[in-house]
Amino acid sequence: MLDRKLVRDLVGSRGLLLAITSIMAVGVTCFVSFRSAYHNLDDAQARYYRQCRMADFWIDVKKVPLAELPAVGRVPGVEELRSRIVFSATVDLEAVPQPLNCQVISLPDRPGPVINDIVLRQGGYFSEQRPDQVIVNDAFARAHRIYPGQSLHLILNNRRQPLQVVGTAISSEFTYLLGPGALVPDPEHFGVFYIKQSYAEDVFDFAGAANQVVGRFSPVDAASREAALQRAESLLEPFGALQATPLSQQVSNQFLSNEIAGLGVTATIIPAVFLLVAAAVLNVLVNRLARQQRTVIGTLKALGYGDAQVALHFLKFGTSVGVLGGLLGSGLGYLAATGMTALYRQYFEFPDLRSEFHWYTHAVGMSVSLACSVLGSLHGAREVLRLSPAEAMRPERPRQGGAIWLERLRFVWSRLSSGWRIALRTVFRSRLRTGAGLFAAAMGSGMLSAGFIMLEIQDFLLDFQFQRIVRSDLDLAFVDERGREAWDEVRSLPAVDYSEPLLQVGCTLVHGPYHRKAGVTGLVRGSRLTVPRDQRGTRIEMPGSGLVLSRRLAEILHVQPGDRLTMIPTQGERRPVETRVARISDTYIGLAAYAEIEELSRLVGEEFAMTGAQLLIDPLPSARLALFRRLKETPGVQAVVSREDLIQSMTETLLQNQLVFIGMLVLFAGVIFFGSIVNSSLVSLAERRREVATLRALGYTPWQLGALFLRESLLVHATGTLLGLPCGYGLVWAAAEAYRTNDLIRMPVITAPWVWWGTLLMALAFILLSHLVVQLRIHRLNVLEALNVKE
Amino acid sequence: MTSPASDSLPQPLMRLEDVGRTYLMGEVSVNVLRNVSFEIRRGEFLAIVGPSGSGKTTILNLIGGLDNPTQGRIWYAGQELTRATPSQLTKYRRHEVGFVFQFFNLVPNLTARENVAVSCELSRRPQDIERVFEQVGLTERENHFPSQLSGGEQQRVAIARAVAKNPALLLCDEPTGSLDFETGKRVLRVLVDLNRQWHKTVVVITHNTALAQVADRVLHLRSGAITSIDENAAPLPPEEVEW
Ligand SMILES: Nc1ncnc2c1ncn2[C@@H]1O[C@H](COP(=O)(O)OP(=O)(O)OP(=O)(O)O)[C@@H](O)[C@H]1O
Ligand SMILES: [Mg+2]
Repeated sequence: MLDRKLVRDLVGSRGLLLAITSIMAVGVTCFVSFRSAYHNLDDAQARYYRQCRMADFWIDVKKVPLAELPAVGRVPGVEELRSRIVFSATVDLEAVPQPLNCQVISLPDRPGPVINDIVLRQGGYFSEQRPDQVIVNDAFARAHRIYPGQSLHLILNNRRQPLQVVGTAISSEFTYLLGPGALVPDPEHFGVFYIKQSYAEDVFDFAGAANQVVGRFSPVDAASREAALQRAESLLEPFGALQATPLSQQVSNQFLSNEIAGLGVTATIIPAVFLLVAAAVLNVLVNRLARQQRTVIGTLKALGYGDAQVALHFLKFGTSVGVLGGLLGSGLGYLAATGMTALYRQYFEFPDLRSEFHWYTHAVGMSVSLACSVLGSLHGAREVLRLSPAEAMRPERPRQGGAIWLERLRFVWSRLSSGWRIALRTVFRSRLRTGAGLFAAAMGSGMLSAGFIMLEIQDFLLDFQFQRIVRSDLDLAFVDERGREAWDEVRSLPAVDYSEPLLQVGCTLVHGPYHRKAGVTGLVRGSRLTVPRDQRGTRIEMPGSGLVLSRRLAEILHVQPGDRLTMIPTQGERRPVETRVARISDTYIGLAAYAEIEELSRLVGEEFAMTGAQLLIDPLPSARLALFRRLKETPGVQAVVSREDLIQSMTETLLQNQLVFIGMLVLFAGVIFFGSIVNSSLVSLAERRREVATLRALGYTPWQLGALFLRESLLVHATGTLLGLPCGYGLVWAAAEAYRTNDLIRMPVITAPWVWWGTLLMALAFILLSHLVVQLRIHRLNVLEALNVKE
Repeated sequence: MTSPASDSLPQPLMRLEDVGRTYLMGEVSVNVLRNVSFEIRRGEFLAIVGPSGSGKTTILNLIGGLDNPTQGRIWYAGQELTRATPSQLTKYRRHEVGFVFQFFNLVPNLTARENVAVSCELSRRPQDIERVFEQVGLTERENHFPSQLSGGEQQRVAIARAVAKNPALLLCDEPTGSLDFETGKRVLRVLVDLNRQWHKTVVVITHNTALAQVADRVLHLRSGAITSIDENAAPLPPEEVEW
């Protein structure tokens, strides 16, 4: 029979329950969706890596005879090796004016279970018919409508080679495929082309040799793997070991793994916030319900109901919220996970990234939501349940009507209108409700401000990296090192307004026991197109001698300006050179080292050398076309990066993400604010129905009465919002701290006034909007009925 | 804590011995009951009278196991209530006692019948609900919510709720306190009938001495102490009471 009362109680406070349920549902939705997306990605990654036999390490060398490889294969800890020929090249598509960049990779002539295998999407593997067959990565093929049977031209080893497309494929190595200098995949401008091993040996003059070794470790611990990789690398050192990359540092894997780890963290933090807020709000509601039903509780106990039975009754009330929120969250979470997984397919290329039903995740979501509701309702009803039945049946002792501490500040208090005084007294006396409101508002505003700061950081970071450090329109990379004449050649290209040479030298930087392979970039003094800067954005002049190191690199090497370090080129004679650290610069993506170009040239035994150039070009479309046409015909160009395209594709993607992000953020914060405010105001209204009705009868207008509640809500939630601002900052700071030692990407903590104003305005909007609900209730209040209520 | 089956008269149903109750109000302790000793006989109709604040409700709460005395001992059917555990007290309330309150205390969102059912569910040998409703004369009002019933009807539902679980002891705190004269009489009639026909022991609190005329015995209370206990040789039927 009590269950009938329960049902009617539930129906009676359905509005409030809906508010709480929605907070809880959003929490569970977040948990289930992020966690499911996490599992979807994680499982897909594991499956894909297994399917392609993903390498554990990559070692790039200048050129190694295949005869040397068995020695490497015998290194303890190395289980299996494959050598291949890998080159950067440009693609010449008839339909596209500009030369496009690509990576060319050799594959065995005949299919086999090799390391870093491909998964065919269209067409087939190489056949015996002809040597010049090519398999194109699927995304590039889709972007340019390339199908098996067509032909295309690649510039391989300075020669324009026609190739026959036999298939399209994907590979786990390029799950997240980035072109040079890019942060987001741009399949239109960068592709991967697989060619036959025999053909590659042929065109690149690599008969019996290779320039990359990929391998897998035998199942040993991390330390032995590291040792094995070091041993393998040192064995290859005589052949110009440029770089050894373990899987953990491989770019595609790093992006994917970062994303998966991020999902895992998000799947904890955001739902925790929501569920805590929901528990706090439920606590307030059940507390009010229990106090209102004091006599009922006393009577039930007098009838002979035990404490546990009565507690169970209120527990059922609360848990129905938990169950409903959990179920809703499960359903919505699954849908959201499906959506997120679909979104991920745009960035990550998987053979079978699908949304699966992870029952365990759903079960956890359900239990957590149940636990929160149990906690919230038991805590809320605790006070009243503890009363002896005789006590419960007596009317509640009026809250101590004593003065609040603020009243002692005479000069403040005397200046307040009576409306504010009432509001302040209520706020200070209903501690539970005030506490829950402060907490919810703080979480909501923390979430908003953290989100806004992230947006600001993203803007800053993109501007810093893509507009302020690098400022060119077009970047060229040459196949080989060239002399000063190359610069003249570049300058004489059509549409080139201004140009600067670049020299990239792969080096091992050594400082005492610390060492790190890094590309050192040679710049002309007073360079305008690549400008190293410090945190504040001030440009750092190239010193006459010595290196400018980016902060993270300096940290890795444990050096400071003035310290000496040794630089060993990874190619050529590999003669160690002593130099010193001149300045520290800042960069948030990757690691960077700069030197004056002539000094760096001497290091590699030249008077002047360059491996590329940066250009400012005439913005006229016709001029650009002319330039692109010439570049397609120019031998020795390995890559042409149109920075305009790069930035455009990046901002497009990021903008689209930002919109989704902002939308989610506002929705989430809105649910928190709205749910909490509506709940606390309606509870406050229910408690003071008689008071409100009396005032109405005395002649107050509904708006005047509404203002009373609005004051209360403003006091609590605006204060909470202010408290949330440092929380948001702290959250971002913690995230930045976690990324501080990341070699791939770091983030500065940047704020702007709009972040704070935006959060405050949003919060204000939510407060006013939720107040409308309360105002409506006041307007609808039946004065006579309210005056007659006996509670 | 069950009532003995034997009906041997000499043993009283309930005995209070030197019972006192003190409330702590911050620093001050208020002595609400002092040295109260009396017996409740099996099957009697006992009235407790006294002015407001004299401790009537406090006594009833102690008898009903809703509260514990700060001094003295209470026995029910040979068992000491003052040494019972909370769960034993709950069982005592569940099976031995029926409460009727001055303000009815019905669960507002349950119908009359459902309110009674709430109490039946607790009992091992509940009364037949139909019969109880007949007894209190409310058969037609079964499916009304409390807000749709008059005060007298609500009080009769409350009585029905108290009796339905078939307790030995019926405790009523000012059952007619918030009712008018005529309605009060009807409610009193129901209580007297329950006492006479169903052999319930009934304890009724009132501050109205006239009402006490229907009782077998009247206990007078003043400032937390018993002033006298009077035997009523010829209890009046409720209809003849004037107040
Ligand atoms: N929980 C409590 N805390 C403090 N004092 C209490 C408490 N309960 C009762 N009292 C005091 O004990 C005294 C007796 O209370 P009680 O309710 O028993 O009186 P009563 O005789 O039933 O009065 P009435 O006829 O008005 O119902 C009163 O003075 C009351 O203020
Ligand atoms: Mg009383």
